[in-house]
Parts: sequence; structure tokens; C-alpha cells
Amino acid sequence: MNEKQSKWKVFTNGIIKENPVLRLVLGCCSALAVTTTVSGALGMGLSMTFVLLGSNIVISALRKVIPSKVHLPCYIVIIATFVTVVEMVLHAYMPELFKTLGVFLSLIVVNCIILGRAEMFACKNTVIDSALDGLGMGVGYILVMFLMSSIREIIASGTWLGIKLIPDSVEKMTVVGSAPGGFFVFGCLMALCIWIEKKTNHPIERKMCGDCPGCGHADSACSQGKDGKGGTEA
Amino acid sequence: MGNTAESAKESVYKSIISPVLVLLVICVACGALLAWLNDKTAPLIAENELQATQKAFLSVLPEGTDANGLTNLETTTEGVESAVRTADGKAAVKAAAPGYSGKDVTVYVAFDSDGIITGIQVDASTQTAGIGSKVGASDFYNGFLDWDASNEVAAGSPVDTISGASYSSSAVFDAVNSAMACFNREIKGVE
Repeated sequence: MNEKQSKWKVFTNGIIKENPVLRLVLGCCSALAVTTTVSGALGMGLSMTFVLLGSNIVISALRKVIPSKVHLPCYIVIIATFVTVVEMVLHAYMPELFKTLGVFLSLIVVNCIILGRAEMFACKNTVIDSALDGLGMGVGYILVMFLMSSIREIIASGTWLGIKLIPDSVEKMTVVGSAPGGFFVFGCLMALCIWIEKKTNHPIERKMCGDCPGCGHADSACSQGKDGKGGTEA
Repeated sequence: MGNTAESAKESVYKSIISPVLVLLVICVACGALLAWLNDKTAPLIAENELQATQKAFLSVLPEGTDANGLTNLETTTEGVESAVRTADGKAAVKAAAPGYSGKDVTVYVAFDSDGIITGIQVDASTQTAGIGSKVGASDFYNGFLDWDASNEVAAGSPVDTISGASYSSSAVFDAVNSAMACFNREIKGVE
């Protein structure tokens, strides 16, 4: 029972408590860039989850083999392999989606969520826990992408998943679909996330990770998280 | 003495050889996996691209054009990516020109045997949504219909530049000019 609970915790961690985009503020580049349409955002979210899951599993399986001196190059090679796999498969079977995602698909390689989870979690946990962590983080990422893209597509293009919601006679707010609009929506969602946390009077307890040797990124991410501001200053 | 030499050996192994070996093995394994996958997907990707171009050509050519009757033409005109000709002398050309921030705007232009534009489509998906992307709307590009390929197009003839989207608009003019140049030089009158 206890074991089950902790596994569940690992999984949900990425959805609410340490949501990669809204709480850890990682991977914002792709979150802002491809959320102009819901279909693109979902495609990106699924690709990302696949890469996150795969790289987390492989990295945690190899965590005892990879020497610490070359751990970054090894991680990058593994992550890049998964990204290239996704790229090739999408290009072959879903050319439309491939075109929509464009360069942001290849940029998953350097997305901080993936390297961040490899460094913070997969490098020191079992394969199953790492897989759950990757899945949870992926689901958290998809949720944010879905929310953001729904707001942006409806306001900027008047459609949702390509279905027309607002008639052509109403002038659309195209700024929401452009880069500055992405930031507006991003900021509002972040504020909403913090507001809900305050409202429910359930301040989320965050783990400190002073005991992670060699993970500088994690340290700074968490030290911002623990002052109750959820790392939103970054 | 022997002990020190041994531990020195071990540290050389640990600090130099093992990292290199591990990285090498990982790279080789990943490389092999990708090579295998590339082998599987490359023909599919090429097929998809061919089909997409074919579909676009058919959409600008007059309705009822037979897909099997199209002949692919070799073209050397700058800006032109591919061209096809039907059995009865009609032709369709795919051309591209850099628009806003250097990203390509692609046009598909169909000509009848005299060089009159009978169909056109613009793919402006690379341009800014809501601004440059307006050149991809039919009320803009349909203005090119019935234009004679012997005259170059420019802003104002036959259509006006879209205000606020001058880069994207001029990319369409450039691409249509390339397509017409290709038609005049390489398709019209050549059997």
C-alpha cells in the first residue's frame, strides 16, 4: 500500500506539485511557440512525453554504467536519439503535424524539462520510478499545453481544434496568437495556478534538494520554489 | 611500488578509458538504431512529399485533369522547385521566394497552353499568422487569374500589395514571376 502510494506520488508530482511549465518554469520556449493551435500543442505534448519517458527509462537503466565525467554527453546522445526517432516517424506518418511543429520538434533535444528530469530524477532512481516521473511530467506538460493552446486558438483564430467557434464577422485578437500574447496567457495561467494554491489554503510543501550532488539546475529551481513563490521569479 | 603502479593504471582506466568507451558504445548503438529507422522511413517521406506536390498541382490545374497523365519536367529556372505538364499542353509550376524573415512563400501556378494563368494557390504557412498569412487567402491570389505569362507581375498589376504585409506580398510576386519565367523558357513551345 505504502509502496503504491509513493509510486502514485511520483506520478502526480509532475502534474500538480512540480508541473514542469507552470511551477518549475522549464521548457517555456516550446510551450510559447507551438501553442497557437490545439492540434500542434497536443502533438508537441505527446512527442515530448514520448521522449521524456524513453530518455528517463534508458538513463536510469544506465545510471550505474555512465561515468560521471561524460554523463552530459551521454544524456544528450540518448535524448537526441529519441527526438530523431520521433522526428522521423512524424515526418513519415504525420507530415502535416511535422510541418506545424517545425524546428521546435528538433529543439526538444535541448528542452530543459528532459535534461532537467534526467539530472534531477532519472540519474538516481529506479527504472520504474523514472518511467512514472517521465509520464507524470509529460502529462503535466500536455495539460498546460492544452490549456494554453485552447485559450490562444479560440481568442486569436476563433477556432478550437479547427472547429469554428467565433463567426468571421467578429474581429479576432491576433495578438494572443503572436509571441507577446503567448507571454500574456502564460503569465495568467501561472497566476491562476498560484491563486488556486492560496485559495485552497493548501500551500504545497516542496522538497529541498540540497542533497543532490552535481545538480546545480535543480538547486536553483528548488530554492526558488521553497520560498512559496513557486519559482515564478525566474 | 607495484601497488601504486596498479592503482595508477586503474585510475587511468577510470578517468580516461572507461568514459570514452561508454560514450562510444552509446553513440554507436544510437547511430545504428537511427540508421535502421532512417532506412525504413526515408522512402515513406519521399513518397509523402511527392504526393503532396502532386495534390497541389492537381488542385490548380483544371478540374478533371488525370493524375496519371502528368509528366514531370526538369527545370533549371531559379526559384522553381518542380513543374508538370499535361498531355494537352497545360502546365503547373511550383515556385518559391523568400518572404518575411527569409522564410519561403510557395506558389503553385497552372497555365494553359497559351500561357494564361488558369489556377493559382499560395502556401503562406511560414508567414506571420494574421499578417503575412493573408497572402494565402484566395481573395488575394485569385487576382492573378487570367494574367498572361508574357508580362511580369508587380505590385499593383494585377493585384495590390497587402498593406502591412509587403514582404510576404512581394514574395508572391517574385514566385509568380519565377513560375512564369520557367513556363516561357522551359515549357511553352517545347515538346
